[in-house]
Amino acid sequence: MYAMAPPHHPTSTDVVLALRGHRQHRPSIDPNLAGGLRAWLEDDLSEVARSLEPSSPLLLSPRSVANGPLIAVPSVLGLARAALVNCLVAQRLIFHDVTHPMDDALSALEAQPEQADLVDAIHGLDQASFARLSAEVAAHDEVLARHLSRVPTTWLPRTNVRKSISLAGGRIIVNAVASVEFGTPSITTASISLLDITTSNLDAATSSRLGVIALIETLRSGAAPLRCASLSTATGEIKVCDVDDVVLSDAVRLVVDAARIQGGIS
Amino acid sequence: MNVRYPSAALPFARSLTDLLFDQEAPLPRRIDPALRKVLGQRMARLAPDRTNGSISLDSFTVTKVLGGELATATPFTWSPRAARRILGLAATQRLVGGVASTPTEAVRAEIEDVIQRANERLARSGSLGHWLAEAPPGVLAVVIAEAVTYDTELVIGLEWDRVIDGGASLGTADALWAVPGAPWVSLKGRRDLVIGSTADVPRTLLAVRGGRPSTSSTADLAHVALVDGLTHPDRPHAQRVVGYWPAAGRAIGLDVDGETLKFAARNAVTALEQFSAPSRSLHAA
Repeated sequence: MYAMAPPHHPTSTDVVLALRGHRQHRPSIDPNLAGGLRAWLEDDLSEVARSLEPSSPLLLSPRSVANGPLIAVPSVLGLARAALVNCLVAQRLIFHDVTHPMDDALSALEAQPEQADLVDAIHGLDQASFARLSAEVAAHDEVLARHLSRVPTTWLPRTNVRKSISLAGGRIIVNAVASVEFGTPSITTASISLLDITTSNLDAATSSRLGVIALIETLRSGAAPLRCASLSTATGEIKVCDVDDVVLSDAVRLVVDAARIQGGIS
Repeated sequence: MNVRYPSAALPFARSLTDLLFDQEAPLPRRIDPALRKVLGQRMARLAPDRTNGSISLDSFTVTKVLGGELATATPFTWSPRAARRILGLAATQRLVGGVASTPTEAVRAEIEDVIQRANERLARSGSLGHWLAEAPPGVLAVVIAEAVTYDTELVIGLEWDRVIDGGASLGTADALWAVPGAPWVSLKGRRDLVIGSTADVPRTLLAVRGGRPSTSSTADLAHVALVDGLTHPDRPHAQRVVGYWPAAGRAIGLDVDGETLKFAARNAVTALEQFSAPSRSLHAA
């Protein structure tokens, strides 16, 4: 079900090639699968939905489903690192080159009004912390350079793709953001590939998170994606998940369990 | 109000395109001149003093104010998010017109053109072209990435051969109706695709939105229909407005009739009342 990357250091574009695979090995799409998964979810969520109102829905994400809700607020440095590296993902995909990782990423962040608080916090760092952050961002960018170079534009690479599904009449919302997405929707053959890029280490819950991302995409588009992968820019580790019925049904169970726990009925 | 949904039994792009061309919608009529007159009079009476600046009420502002939120007075600045729709729509035009082969190529070509117009002094100061011309590589990359994502979602969401054959106009300027007697107040209808741009062909509008549909989505789509009707008094109003939420993979079609337009007009007046209240002298960009 899950194919771990080989233990040696991956070569350039390993994660992208692993995601796309060979065209002739792509599975067919079951046109009834998405409807069946949604019906299963709706049935199993009906109990928890009774205690929720559409005006204040329960919000879930792949991370909160797989790891539980956050118990501590991430540090400013952690948030800044993630946001800065996220900007570099776009630059790597578009220009295939980054000369000054920290300068480029910070300028990109400064151009986004919704990140104003984080930008202020970064500028408020003392000299030593700022230097440490810059060095970390450069190190994370080296991992991106190994994996995101020269993706053909014909694969339709797109970044920060937001996904949102509404369940139980809007009482439960599951949101996700795919760091990178490739491929076009097909009605016959699975062709969408999703890449989750994290500045954290991969952990035991990574496979579960990928399964939930695959489930969200299946319910959103009506077709299961081909593969999902996670890339840690902290370690260079990658995990690739071939999406199949087992992965998706496991994800349904995880979403139901998380909704029950976070909805307060379990 | 009559709301329609795409068929779940068909591929999404086909069912969304069907929703645009479905012929079962009621025959369209022109917007009632009496509604137009009353709306103009009421809005002119409610308009805040001109010295407070201009007010542009789009669907987002109207539904936000009706939902009890204050419109915030944030001055407009260019950002990757502010540029994504303009560049994304222009890139989609290039793609469907066959002058670019991928969304990334289309967006990059569009940006080159926009920058060139600015460099040749064909664009006013503060324009998108000037901002992009001075943008460092990091900013430019995020701008391109945002527009590519927007463009790709629009391109894969529709069956474009049918849309083009249907005589669609893409990326035309948003409809803007200035209130007679108080032209510093205007209604803005944000839609991305217009089918039936000539007087003889029934109009259908497509509005691409972020997030997922909500309880205020019909008010959003009705507002788009109202502004479109107000700006084209000489032709029938849109017969349907289709909202498309790529992030959710959802779409809704709102059939437009006299009641729909009255509903939207009441919402616009109520929203302006909130703006005009002494404690809320805030202006939308």
